[in-house]
Amino acid sequence: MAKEEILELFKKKPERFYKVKLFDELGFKRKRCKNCGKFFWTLTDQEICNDSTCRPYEFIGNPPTKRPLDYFETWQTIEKFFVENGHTPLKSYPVVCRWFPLYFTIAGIVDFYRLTDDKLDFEFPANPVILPQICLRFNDLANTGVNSRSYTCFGMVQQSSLFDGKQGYWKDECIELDFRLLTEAFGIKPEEIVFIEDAWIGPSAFGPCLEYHVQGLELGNAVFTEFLGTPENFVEMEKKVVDMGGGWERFTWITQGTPTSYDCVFGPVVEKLKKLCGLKEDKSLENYWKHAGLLSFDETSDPNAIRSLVAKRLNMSLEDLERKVSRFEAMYALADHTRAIVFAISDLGIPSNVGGGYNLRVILRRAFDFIEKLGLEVKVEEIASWHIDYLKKMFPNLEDRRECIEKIIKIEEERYKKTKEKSRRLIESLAGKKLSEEELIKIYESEGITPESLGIKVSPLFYTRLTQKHEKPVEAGEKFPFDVSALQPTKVLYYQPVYEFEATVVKAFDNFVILDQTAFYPTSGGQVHDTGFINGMEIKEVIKVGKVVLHKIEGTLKEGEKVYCKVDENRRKILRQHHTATHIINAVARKVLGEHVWQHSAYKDVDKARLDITHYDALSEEEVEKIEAEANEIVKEDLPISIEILPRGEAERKYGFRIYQGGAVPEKELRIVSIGEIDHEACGGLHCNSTGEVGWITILRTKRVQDGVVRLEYCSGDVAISYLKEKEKILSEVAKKLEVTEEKVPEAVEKLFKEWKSKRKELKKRKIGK
Amino acid sequence: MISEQEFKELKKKEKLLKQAAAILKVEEKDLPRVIERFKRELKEMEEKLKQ
Repeated sequence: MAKEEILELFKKKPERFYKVKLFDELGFKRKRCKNCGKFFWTLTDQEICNDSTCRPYEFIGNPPTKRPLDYFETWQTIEKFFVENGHTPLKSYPVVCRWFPLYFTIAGIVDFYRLTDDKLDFEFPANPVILPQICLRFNDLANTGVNSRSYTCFGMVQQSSLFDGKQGYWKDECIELDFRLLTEAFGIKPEEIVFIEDAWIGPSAFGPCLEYHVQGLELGNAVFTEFLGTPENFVEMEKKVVDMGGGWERFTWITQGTPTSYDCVFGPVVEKLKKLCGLKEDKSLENYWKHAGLLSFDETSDPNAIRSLVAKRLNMSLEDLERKVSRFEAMYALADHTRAIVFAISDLGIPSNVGGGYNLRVILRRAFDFIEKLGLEVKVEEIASWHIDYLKKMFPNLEDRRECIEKIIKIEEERYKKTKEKSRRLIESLAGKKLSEEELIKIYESEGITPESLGIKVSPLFYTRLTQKHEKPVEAGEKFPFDVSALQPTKVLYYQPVYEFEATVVKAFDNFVILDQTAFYPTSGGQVHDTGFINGMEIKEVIKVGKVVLHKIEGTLKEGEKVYCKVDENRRKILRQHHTATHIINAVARKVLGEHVWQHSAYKDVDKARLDITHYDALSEEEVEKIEAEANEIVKEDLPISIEILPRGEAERKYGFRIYQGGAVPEKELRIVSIGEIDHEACGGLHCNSTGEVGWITILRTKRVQDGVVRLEYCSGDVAISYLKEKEKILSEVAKKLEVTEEKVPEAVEKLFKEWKSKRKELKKRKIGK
Repeated sequence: MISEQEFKELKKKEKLLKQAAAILKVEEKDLPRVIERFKRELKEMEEKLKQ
């Protein structure tokens, strides 16, 4: 069922879904907009709703609020109001989303999204709450810088409450609070406020919503999440969720009435850019900005038709209009994209060609192109620095990350230049050719070249389509072919030092055996499975499906049979060492390379382990040596390794989102593995009891496996010693062959190689002479 | 577990081997065989040059 169908159902029962106490008390009337057909609630006789497609931005030049507020004053006003009304103020969560399968925090409510047994759940640290959530979203890329209100990076005013009939509040209180926020805190007249009916469908939850609009601008959207499931199959939630997301930038804008919201929310950044661009306030555009709200491009709209309509309304030709506004639009988008990059890198995101980094690179490359298009003598990192100067009083971590932000932007600029140079031939061969959008997307994806570099003007929706392809992680596809959901969960013994045990066969099919209890660790969390024997039959594989452990054996067993099991203790010891070494290497890499390092993936086998980390460059020899040396210092310190089972919220508050190194964990309780004070991770793997047990760690090799991802391979304990002894043997053999001491081997090899080259040259010369 | 001193000694040797293999751009395990080949070829070339 599509959103429109749900909306139809809600609209049929406005008393049930939309009518709140305030509407009755103040006499709000329900009307249908004569222009767009939407239902709305108003105190006046107006026939047209306040949506930007129906009404221009009338507040430009004439704000309806008490006084102008800057970006920070706006937040202070909002926070003060909600705190006075019983809300707990929270800080913005990171824009890079680590706790839910999304790359970025696309809305304030995402802060509280969690998965429990793969179903949507909510985790509120307090109730009710108010916070300024910085969000990254790419679906409005085409409109950013264009319709005066859209951003890729924006602050969402997140007002939330969890309502169970006793605690928290529901629709009546929410709308009353929002109405009072607008009228009391901002001084907007009640007659200016219109509530428009709509519906919201999110990840396995949905509900009605009321958007509040003032003079053509939607300031907030109060979503009432009351149904869990899909519109086809749902249940009413026991705890309902108030999810009001307001536009922080829009609140600032309506108090200032500047031509666009971009003129007032970036502090001095836009003023500086305007000067560099030589852009001055253009009186002839005054009316244009009021109608820019119509420029909302999506898959159903034709950008050219919309622009032509606006041009017609202003009695201008389309060409004239585009000539006048295109530089403004590019400059505003440049300011937005740079701010997005600042927040993303500060929260440890890295532009790359994979995962969430993909879209960061898209907007960063757009920013480089905008600078070129505008002919500016400024670098993106300088603009980033202006943003940091302005924002640091509210986001002090930006100052701490300044150096890294500037460094990564510089590296990316160099990379983009090199890509363009490398692809110059391609650019030359393609220049002037008519290429389809599909071909242009392919060129960007394979070569990293934007259409602008090819001198091709694309639809404003080009980048929206490109970024939409990389919005969230792809779900793991492979599913186990047998349904084991009817079986009891297997009792797990592998977290205890159990290596021999007896069990009963619960189910046996093909070569798989399910026991009532097991000490065999199944392949999971990047750690390979245990091996051993069940009644003397060798175990080939151990997997976990849901909460059931399956053993693949060489042979067959009968259901109900009692079995004797033995775990390969030595293999287990190595896997525990390699798993613990992975945590150590991760913590040390973060210390040596920077806070941006995050586990991308990990694999722990018996011959070696590997850890892929996010990092913008290949590792130097010195960096590798430093990581290894520091890792071995931790081994030497013999730090205790502790395990705690904590409620998810408590674990997050105690250790932060760094615990999600292996990705979001769909459990209400987390198993936190701590290595002294240096590392805390939610991890279901097997570890040593102290770092000393890991044994010496040796890094085997490192390489850049993907753009923005570096792989470290290593081993530890006896495996490391065997590996090094093998190297020692080879060195000794080489030394003997060269008749030198081991220390002199490189020197002797160099000498031999030189002599060999010299003789070969001499021989060649002689042959030519003949 | 071997002592730190012994471990460092082994690491030093690993590094020497790595450096040597890097000079000839070969895998470390192939180094003895490659050295043998270079020595043999060098000898052969010297003999040819003498003739």
